[in-house]
Amino acid sequence: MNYLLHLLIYINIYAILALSLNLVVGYCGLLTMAHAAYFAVGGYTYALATQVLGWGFIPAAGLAMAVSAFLSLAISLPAWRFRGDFFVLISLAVQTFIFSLLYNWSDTSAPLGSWRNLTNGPFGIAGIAKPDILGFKVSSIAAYCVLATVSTAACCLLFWLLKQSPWGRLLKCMRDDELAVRGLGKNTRLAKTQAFAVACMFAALAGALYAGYVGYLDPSSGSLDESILMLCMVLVGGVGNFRGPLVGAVVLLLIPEALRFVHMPDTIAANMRLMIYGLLIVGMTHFRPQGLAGEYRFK
Amino acid sequence: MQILANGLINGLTLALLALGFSVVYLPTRVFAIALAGVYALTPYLAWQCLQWHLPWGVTLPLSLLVVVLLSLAIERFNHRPLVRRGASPSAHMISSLGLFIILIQFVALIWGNETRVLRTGIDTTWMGWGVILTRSQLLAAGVAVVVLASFYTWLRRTSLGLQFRALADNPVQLALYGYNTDRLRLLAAGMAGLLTGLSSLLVAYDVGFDPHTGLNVLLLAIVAVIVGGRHSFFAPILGGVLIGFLRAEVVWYLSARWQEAVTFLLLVVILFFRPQGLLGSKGRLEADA
Amino acid sequence: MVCETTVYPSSAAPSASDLHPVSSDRRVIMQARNLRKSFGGNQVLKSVDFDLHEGEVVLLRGDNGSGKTTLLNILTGNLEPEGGGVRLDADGSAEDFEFPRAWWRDLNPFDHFTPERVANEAAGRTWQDIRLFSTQTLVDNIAVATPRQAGESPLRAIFQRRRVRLAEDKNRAESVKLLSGLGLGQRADSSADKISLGQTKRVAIARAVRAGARVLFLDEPLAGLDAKGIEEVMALLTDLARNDKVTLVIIEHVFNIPRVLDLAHTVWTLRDGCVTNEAPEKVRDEMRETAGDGVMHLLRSIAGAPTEQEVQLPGGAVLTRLQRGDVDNPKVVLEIKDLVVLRGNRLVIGEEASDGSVNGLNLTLYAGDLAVLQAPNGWGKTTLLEALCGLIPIERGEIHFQGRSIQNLPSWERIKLGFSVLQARNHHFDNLTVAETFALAGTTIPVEFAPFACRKLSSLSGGESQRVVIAAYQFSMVALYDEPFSTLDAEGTQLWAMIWNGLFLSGRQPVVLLLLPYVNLRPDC
Repeated sequence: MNYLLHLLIYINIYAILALSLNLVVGYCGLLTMAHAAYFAVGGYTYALATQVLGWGFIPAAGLAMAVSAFLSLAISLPAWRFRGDFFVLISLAVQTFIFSLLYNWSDTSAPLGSWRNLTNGPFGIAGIAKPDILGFKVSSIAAYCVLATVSTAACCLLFWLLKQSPWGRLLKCMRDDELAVRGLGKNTRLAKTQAFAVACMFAALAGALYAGYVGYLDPSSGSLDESILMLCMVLVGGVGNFRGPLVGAVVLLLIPEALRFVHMPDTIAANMRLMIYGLLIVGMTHFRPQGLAGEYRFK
Repeated sequence: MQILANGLINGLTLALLALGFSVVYLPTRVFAIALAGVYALTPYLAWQCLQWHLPWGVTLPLSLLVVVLLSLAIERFNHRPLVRRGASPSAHMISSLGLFIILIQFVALIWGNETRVLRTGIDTTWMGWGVILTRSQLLAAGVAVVVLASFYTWLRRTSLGLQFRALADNPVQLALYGYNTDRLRLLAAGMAGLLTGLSSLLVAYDVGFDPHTGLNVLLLAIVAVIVGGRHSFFAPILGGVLIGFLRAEVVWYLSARWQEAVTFLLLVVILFFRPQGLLGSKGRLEADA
Repeated sequence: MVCETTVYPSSAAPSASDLHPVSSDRRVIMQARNLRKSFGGNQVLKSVDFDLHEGEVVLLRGDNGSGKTTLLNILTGNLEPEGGGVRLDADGSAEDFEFPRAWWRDLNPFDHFTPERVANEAAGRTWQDIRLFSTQTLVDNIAVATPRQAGESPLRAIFQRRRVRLAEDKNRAESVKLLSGLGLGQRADSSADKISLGQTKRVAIARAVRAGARVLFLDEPLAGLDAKGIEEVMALLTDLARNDKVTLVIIEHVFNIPRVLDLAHTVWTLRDGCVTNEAPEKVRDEMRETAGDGVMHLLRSIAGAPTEQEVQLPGGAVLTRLQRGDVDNPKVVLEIKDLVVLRGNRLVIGEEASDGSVNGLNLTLYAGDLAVLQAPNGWGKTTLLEALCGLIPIERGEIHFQGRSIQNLPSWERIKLGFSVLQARNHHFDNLTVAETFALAGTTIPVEFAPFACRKLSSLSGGESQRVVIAAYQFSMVALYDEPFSTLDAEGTQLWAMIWNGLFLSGRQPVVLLLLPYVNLRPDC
């Protein structure tokens, strides 16, 4: 039973990541390899806020989202000028830069959270306390599952509202023909900046949930490999609608479970999972560019 | 002075990779991320040959041959069908990303994740003009210079080189002149594989290798191409050497940890103030509207 | 293309006397001074000046390649000119733009010369390829254009849902009403890619008006339409000009100009990089005089007293075959059967029948033909060329060359079999020198180009590089040309005449196919 709850928590985290990444990839039509960086920024901010500042879940997660939204400017400002392949490059640069910050902003002689040692570098932050929501300590796995599910439901509602709103319509039209939208007097740059801010905010929320659950965070959760995995998740599931990212999240979860089922040893399971993704991506590009359940094709 | 020398040599090996990337990018406008996978694979092939006690005279050509064939296969079976269908450059890039993932995981599955080396023992050194250089560094510099020089000679002086330059300018018009652009694209892929493999081996021989450096190094190579000017075949050299110098200076004055940050800062600065690169001419921006 | 049988437009037009002549003391809402723009070595716009008055309807005409689209792009913020100034005063507050922009102006992210900036000054446009949002419904296409919507801020969309919903309901109702005015009220929720071409064009115009445009730039609004479509679009434009007092600048090509002349107050003729004002009556007379002249005359003299055969093709295109008199029983060289070509989801070559099935294009050319395919812009001439060369995939159909089926061969194979193709644009290698271009083409460099031999093509002027390309062109059995006369001067045209003359006199019986926009008016216009 606990194992199922554990899986459920992970599905929720992935779902939030997928929906947020969908906003960038499926609605702005931009491939980004920096999502894990913002996920990690969220996790680290949450961890520092709870450990060093002693804040509860809601303010800490809020701070994580705010910091991430602010840092999203690093990737949304370039989106004004660059598209397609060059944007990928910029996102790689941002990813590397943020990862480098997380990995290097440390000094073993200084305490965690001080300006000299903000992230503890490769040692990571350990012992992140279980979340404290307005006095109620979320200590059991079932309670955490409830927290995760509620968060995901809230995210789904929010994304659905945005999708139906005039803002969502603006993004969809921009995806069809950005120049025509600009010719109608719309500020597409602002819309893209807003999309990135929302996407990074929710990646940070996922990061906070992850940090609170696992209790330990290190720079590898914000590595390029993780970004690639997230991108694969949405490319395989499909983007541009609601179903695609959720399918992607479920598939991401199911693959390692399936591998465990066939008794593949854990050491190579991670590699096999990525290998499967690679094969799926190549196959999809040739035979099914919209992904398993998506709407937007990179044609 | 030592810094300059180190920077120059690193820059030259980077220039090889940058040229390999350009050789595919200029004619086809595809971001061949799979080259990072080729970069990761080559030293492992060499290592395996050495494990089987094959001499370097066999190991070197054999590993390079395998990666060239691999690059040709990727072009023939992955990119050509997409071209036939009129797929966008994004589709090509995504499939290249998928291939990169497959290659890296293949390497990690077979050979594991630890760093390995291609030679053992202490390197002999050479001293002159106040600079100390190891044998591997000299080897890398020498090979890089020879390969780069031969490439440029080939490009400028042979008729096949002329076709290649025409392919980079206007592939449609070249096909309308009756030239088989499919075959030229294969040539581009093969050359890219060769240059990438060579660059990888030279670095691996010097400092060792692991499966995960591929994408980071390719990234640097792409930065070199952009800084130099992405519409020219000569630009990768300029960019590569410049980046090599810059990183050597950073290691000396700041610390090795901040190399990446500074490199990307340079990229951002160039993209905002001179997006056509140092050697590029204005009016060919792939930016807005 | 969705179209019914082509009928040439009737001359029943709204009476021009209904429209008051626009006197020059009407308010000037847009002004251009000394606009300059060049591409590569080619100075497209030399010095463009004009005054646009409120409520005026202007026809902007000029040959393909004269810079009409460039001028349009500049005036709508899509392109920056190299020099000159533009003043916009359509919304009551005058804005001046001087070029080249001072560098410190560009630092202010809110003060760039961009399409959205110009649109916010009440200047809108439509595109030649229309650009509706194809994945959205018609009502969404209109509703998205409404300026200053509350729901366009994500924060408001989440936290002020009621207010946003009310505004959106109002927006939607107004948009449906606008669509009903176009006769599309019932189809408001259907996807935008499922309506006819004429309806699409009108929705695009309505969309631009909804965005608040007081000045509307229309890029070939009548291209590709049948008589009914033209009537509908003209009715809409007349309504906008007369009732809503929207200022219109209409770019149109030769074929449709007479219809626009009925509505226009002024004609701007773009020639040699400058704009001259003319009166509509004068232009109409001028066009009647020159009907049937020029290029066709030249071609007829090359073909040497030919027999002429005209074939009507779907979509308003006409194929004229000039068959030389000295050839009897010519063989079929190029045969196109049931050709259907798509670009994305759009049907370009081929015609949709009323039952939904698609009929492909059929065309036959014989040895010794000098054939001219005249079609309006947007018909798909370049698409046809690319399909024939093998540059784009075809959906359906067969192409036979000398009896041999070639639709599955790659481009270079077709070239080797005897095709030769000259594209309209983008047909040279920027970074190669002149000598290298000739080497690549497999010919020796002609004497007249010897002084240029080591210069890169990108450093030559437009006309010079065109001549290099023509000289390097190799002929074979079938020669396909896409708009060979645009951007050429008289000397260049003579060059073509010489080349083709030589070709036909050589006894080889080649087939030459020219794809041209309309070169002469129909006599009943």
